[in-house]
Amino acid sequence: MVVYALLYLSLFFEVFVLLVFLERRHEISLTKKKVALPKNQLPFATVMIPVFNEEKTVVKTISSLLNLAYPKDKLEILVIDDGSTDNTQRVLAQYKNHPQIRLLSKKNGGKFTALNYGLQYAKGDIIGCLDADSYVEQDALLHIAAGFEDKETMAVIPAIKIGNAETILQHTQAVEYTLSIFIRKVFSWLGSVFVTPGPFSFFRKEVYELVGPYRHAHNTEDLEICLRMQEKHLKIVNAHDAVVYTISPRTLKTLYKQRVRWIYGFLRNMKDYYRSFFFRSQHGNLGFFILPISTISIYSAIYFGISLVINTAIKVWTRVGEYVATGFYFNIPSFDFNWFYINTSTPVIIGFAMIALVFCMLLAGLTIAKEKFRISRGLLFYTFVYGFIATYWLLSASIKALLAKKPAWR
Amino acid sequence: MKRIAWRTYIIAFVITSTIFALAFGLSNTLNQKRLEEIRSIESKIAVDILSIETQFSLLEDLSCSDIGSTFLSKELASIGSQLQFMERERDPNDPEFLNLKKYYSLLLIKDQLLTKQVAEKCNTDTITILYFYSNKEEDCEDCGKQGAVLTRLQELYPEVRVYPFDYYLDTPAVEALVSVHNVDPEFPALKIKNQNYYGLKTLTDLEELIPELEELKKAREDSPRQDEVEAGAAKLESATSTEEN
Repeated sequence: MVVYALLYLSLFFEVFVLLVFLERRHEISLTKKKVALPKNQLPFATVMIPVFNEEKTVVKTISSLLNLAYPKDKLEILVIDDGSTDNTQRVLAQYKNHPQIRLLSKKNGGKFTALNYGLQYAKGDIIGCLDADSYVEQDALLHIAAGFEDKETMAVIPAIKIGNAETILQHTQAVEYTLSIFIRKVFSWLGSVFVTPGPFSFFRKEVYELVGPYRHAHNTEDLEICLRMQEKHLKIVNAHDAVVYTISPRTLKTLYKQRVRWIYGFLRNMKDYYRSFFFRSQHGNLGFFILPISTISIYSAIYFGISLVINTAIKVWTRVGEYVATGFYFNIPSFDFNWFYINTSTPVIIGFAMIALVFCMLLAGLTIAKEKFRISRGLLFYTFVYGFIATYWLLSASIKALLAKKPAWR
Repeated sequence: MKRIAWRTYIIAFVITSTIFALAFGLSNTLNQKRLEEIRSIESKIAVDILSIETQFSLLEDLSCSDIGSTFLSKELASIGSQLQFMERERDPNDPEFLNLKKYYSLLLIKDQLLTKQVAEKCNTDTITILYFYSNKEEDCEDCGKQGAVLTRLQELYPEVRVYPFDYYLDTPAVEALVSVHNVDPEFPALKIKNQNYYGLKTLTDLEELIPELEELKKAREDSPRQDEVEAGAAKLESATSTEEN
């Protein structure tokens, strides 16, 4: 029964987001026209780069900001060194006299303290953050600025892509990020954005007066500040043409740490905020559906992931036992197709329907990102293997969240 | 106060429910088709058995070369694996499925008796294994392995006839078979040449228990392989045609 309930909810979520996409897909092409704001209407923008031991990536991040197609006199860059212990300070010294860049330094206290420190110096009408492991496309800020044309908009979030896909794990994350582009757009249409991601999300400066500064928030300050904005019904939109590239984890170990931190942060923040949001109609779709289903989906993924791992382990164990009894042998597999032996149980059929809908979501994500579909090793790995691996960090993060055991940042 | 997209939720509810209903319907239809397929093979085997029995009764003096092998074991094995698949994938206590399984057991018993009769009449030495298993996990942890061993045994020695029976299948014929062969409820249980064996028997164990298997292996190694025979025949034919030309 639990299986069917979880399958129903998961399928419902997929159908729902795809329906929203179909209803509003015409708006995707409309945003292009909004970019051409006259120079005098462009807001003064501050970009804060919190830095901690980022000697290898920070130059690329700053260079991409300096190359932005945005008036130089309307862009200020604050680099806040959060007590780096490597060569970051020396690397940053080259920008000491740059007219657009201001170098700030403080004792290490965590990303949120660096951002709050930077806020004291920020002069922009809109203030954004860019993680030092990310870089932006030339017209990204123009698209972000266009999002603020609507006076009610208080924050604009970008589309994030993987900037360094080399390993199979990074290619797999690229597929995942394409899906996130789709989800972020749909959530934006539903007024249900619940994360203003670290790379290149912008806020009107009043936001910090209305909701206060960044908080530690279980190492996910970008999620928590967004929830505070949603509490006050501040409008957050997604500028899908504002493209930011992020350096993704190369190894399983670093990916695991990143994901545990994200999921742990999400679950702990849900614990802190669920009373304000869950099933509260004043928060619209976010409270009624998006936050509850996002929480349930984590446990649902753990449930299905563990079932998958256990079933696979049992099959392998059984096979090993059979080989012990019969002696090892190898039969060339017969390619005689007999439909009789295809598993056509209801959960399997629904599972296939869900995979088909995920592919539709992926295609929608590619449409939004203006990319073409191709069968890559990342896609194959995402479809057949990623679920097994993801279970590991979902489970680990959930246990840590339950025990309130804070995961390491890196 | 934010707007809730009620209309979209309702449409999504209808679509999701429809997909669910279709999945249930499709799964059910395919299961019914599977049962029909088993049923049709079973009735074909029943006709075949009846035909051989009749042949056997009518023509007492029929020569052994005319009787040959019944060739039913292969088809019975195919149903066996189909039933095994269904037992795994759907409720093994489903009455319709149980009926088919009972019928299958009857066919197995019939085939086994017929094989025995043919062996006696033609004075051939057929190796027959009766295999009693239980579907209760707590009763028989090794039944899966024993099944794999017997399947492998038949792959290696197609002459061996294996007849699997669910010990607890509620049908008088199987109960009678259990009683006739004096099989205790200890699983897996094998009846080989009037001797009962309990517990997992590996392939090596079976090869030791049935020395005839070694002879079968030797005979196969000594006789030319079928493909070699065919190749030789083709060579001969081509040589003959060249000579004729």
